Amino acid sequence: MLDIQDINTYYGESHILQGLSLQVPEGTVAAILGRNGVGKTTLLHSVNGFVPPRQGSIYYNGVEITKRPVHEIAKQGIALVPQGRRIFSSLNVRENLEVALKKGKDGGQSWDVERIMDFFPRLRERAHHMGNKLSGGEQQMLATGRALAGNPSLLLLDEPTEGLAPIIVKELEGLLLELKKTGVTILLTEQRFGFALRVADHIYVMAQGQIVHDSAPAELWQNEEIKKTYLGV
Amino acid sequence: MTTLAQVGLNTASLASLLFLVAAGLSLTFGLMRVLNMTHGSFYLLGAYVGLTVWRTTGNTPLAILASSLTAAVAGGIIYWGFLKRFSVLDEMPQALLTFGALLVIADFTMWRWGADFFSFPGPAFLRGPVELVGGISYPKYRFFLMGSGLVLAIGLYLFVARTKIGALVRAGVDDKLMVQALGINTPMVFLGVFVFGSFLAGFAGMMGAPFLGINPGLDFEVLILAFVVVIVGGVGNIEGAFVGAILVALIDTATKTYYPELAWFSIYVPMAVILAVRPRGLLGRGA
Amino acid sequence: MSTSTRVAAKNRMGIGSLATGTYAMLGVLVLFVILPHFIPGYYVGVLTRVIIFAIFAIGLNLLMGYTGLPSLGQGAYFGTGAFGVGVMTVTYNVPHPIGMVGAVVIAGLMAAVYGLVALRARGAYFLLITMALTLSTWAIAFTWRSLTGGEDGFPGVTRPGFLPWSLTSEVNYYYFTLFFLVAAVVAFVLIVRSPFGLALQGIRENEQRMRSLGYNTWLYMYIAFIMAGVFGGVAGVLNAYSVGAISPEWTNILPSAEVLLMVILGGPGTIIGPLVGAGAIIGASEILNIHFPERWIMFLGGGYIVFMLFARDGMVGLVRRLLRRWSKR
Repeated sequence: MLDIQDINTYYGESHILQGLSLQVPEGTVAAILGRNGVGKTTLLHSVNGFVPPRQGSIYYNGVEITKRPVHEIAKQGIALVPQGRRIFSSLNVRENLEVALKKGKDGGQSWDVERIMDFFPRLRERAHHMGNKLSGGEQQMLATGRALAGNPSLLLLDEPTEGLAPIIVKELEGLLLELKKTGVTILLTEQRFGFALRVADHIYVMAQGQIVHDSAPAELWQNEEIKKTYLGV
Repeated sequence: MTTLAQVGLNTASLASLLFLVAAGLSLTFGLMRVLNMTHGSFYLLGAYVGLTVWRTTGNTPLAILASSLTAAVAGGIIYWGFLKRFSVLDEMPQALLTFGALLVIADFTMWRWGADFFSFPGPAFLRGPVELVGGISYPKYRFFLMGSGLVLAIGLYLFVARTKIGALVRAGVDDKLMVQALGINTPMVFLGVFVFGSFLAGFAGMMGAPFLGINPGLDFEVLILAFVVVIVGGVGNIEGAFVGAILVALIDTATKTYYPELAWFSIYVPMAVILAVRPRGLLGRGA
Repeated sequence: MSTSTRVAAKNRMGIGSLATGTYAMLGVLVLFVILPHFIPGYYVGVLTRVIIFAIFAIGLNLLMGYTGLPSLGQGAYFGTGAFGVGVMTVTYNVPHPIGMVGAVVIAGLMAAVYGLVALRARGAYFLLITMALTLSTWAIAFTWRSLTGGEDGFPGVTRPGFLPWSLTSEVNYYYFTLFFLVAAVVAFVLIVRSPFGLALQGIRENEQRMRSLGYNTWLYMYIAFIMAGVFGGVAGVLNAYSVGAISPEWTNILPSAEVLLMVILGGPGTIIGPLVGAGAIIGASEILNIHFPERWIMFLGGGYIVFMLFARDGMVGLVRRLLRRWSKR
């Protein structure tokens, strides 16, 4: 379980996350919704260590990971699929997966290159293409596959559907639900309301660095007030 | 015809030397985004230590080894003792720290070895010229230098392009933070690359001594030339350092032969033009 | 413009609040005005150098401290300003005021051209490209012997008169440069407090965010780049008159690195920082050179290392932190 307690994160001198708390139980999918610039990415970066919070604590499975170096947090079983995918463009698809291979925290290595390519057959077709020669959807799959190669127990997905065609979004949705069945915990940020509601077990709505609403998807669906004020739906 | 051959041979030997220095600089810059101002200092410090070893023992391979190891250790100290303390995003303070280290090392070598110009003849079996067809004779040692440069270039290329560690280095050049997010302890990778790059600089220091001599100020000259090679070829890849080294060596040699008064102009101005067209160098990636 | 940036801008004004910052500046000014009467002539020359380099550093501070673009190539504009005024007033007998303005304009134009190249990159690449540009400027100055004198340098630059005063006296020339320093500081304060200056600071904090707010961040950076070049040109002009001869080395990396160190050591992103940095580095070089003529470079280098390790926000930042700790007690 991921337990974020009252964190304050700054970007340079701007106070981005202002006393934010949330919990993601093991094996569930939580989605964070909110407009551009409310601090969704900063939240994920606070967890994975890119932008450590100045105050507050983050625990993962009982271990405090606040302010630990990025690679140590990764070794706790936390993997990031970043916004913009950040594929290594001078590596081919297979190499992108290979550099990321590592055993999970429990010592298991159920995800290897073969299984990832079975899971994302498009990656197998493109195995020898360079990272910068992929379509947006393929890049998203590769970034997700690269995260899985580290056998994580928690996946952080930052706007996975950004810039993808509706048909690819649909495909990704299926894959994420499939992934959820493997028992991996997922925390994702989204701008696509419908996508988030279909894949998540629990929804958080963010505004100005704070959680302003949290509920099950169905409940948010009925809350016109929140939808209008914070999400513009 | 003779001068043309001379230009070709001089280009090849200078290019070998420049490649040795620039390859390490290119990888450390590409990987860590640190403008390492001490790289030329490693070259000179290594050469001085190698010279001392050679004068005491008369053993050339030992002198070359001493030169390379001195530079490698100095590089390790600079990275592990100083640069590692900085966040990977603090590019400026790191560059300035290495500038301070450049001054310290320059003054240290001045103190220990003085302002004299030293020469180092190279190993006995490589002294003297080789007679080529067409009545051209050319120093044996230069051929040795070309050979070493070529072998190292191929070896380095294969290492970076084909091995897993090489893939890691390339990934680091693309996005070092993302590499760390995969659970890889990047400071260890950086240390390895930094030490190795410094080792190559020290190796070049002794290998280049029969060619360029050993004297104060060489640290800065070599540093600037290596930067030019890296800028022209593109940062963070071996092929770029190779192409850049040949280009810079060719321009330098040709102008020094035919238009000596344009020597610096002809290196720096094309560099600026290349940058204007391709900000990341001829073989650099991205924009 | 977000409120947090505004507050940040205010915090950066002086050592503490806005008021103490202004008082500190006035104190420094009074000191600069009376000092020449209490020190030997040689040191007036040293102070003149401090002033010239402070102007130079203020320009870089705008670019580096306020916009987040560290340049290792400011020597190009410094040297071009110097050669500009030298060539115009000596070779072509242009009147001094026109020569001075012309030289600064040329330096600004050069920055306008170089900026197009340099601003295609950010961060360490920007550093590398600016370095390459100054190197090629040096190569041109070094090679173009008929214009610049090449490695022999360009001698015979004479100082103009200024209203009733002759500037040949060191003290008079000192006040002449001080006038430019005051003008530079005032211009600088006006720039960084204007909406334009605040936008630059926004870019420094987060360029992407400023762009998404609709700012043409490239244009802002480009203008800052040209402004920094103009300050460099002014400093170059003053230095040409001060020394009386110009060397192509002025366009090279060493002065570029020197001024960069002044900004960093003084405290980038503060108004008083470049002055402190210029004073400290020129002062330290003088003192070390006198007391340790053998090993002063080693001390200087060691000093840079210590500062980078322990006081990356420069002397102003260090003093500010010490004051804060002290006032908490």
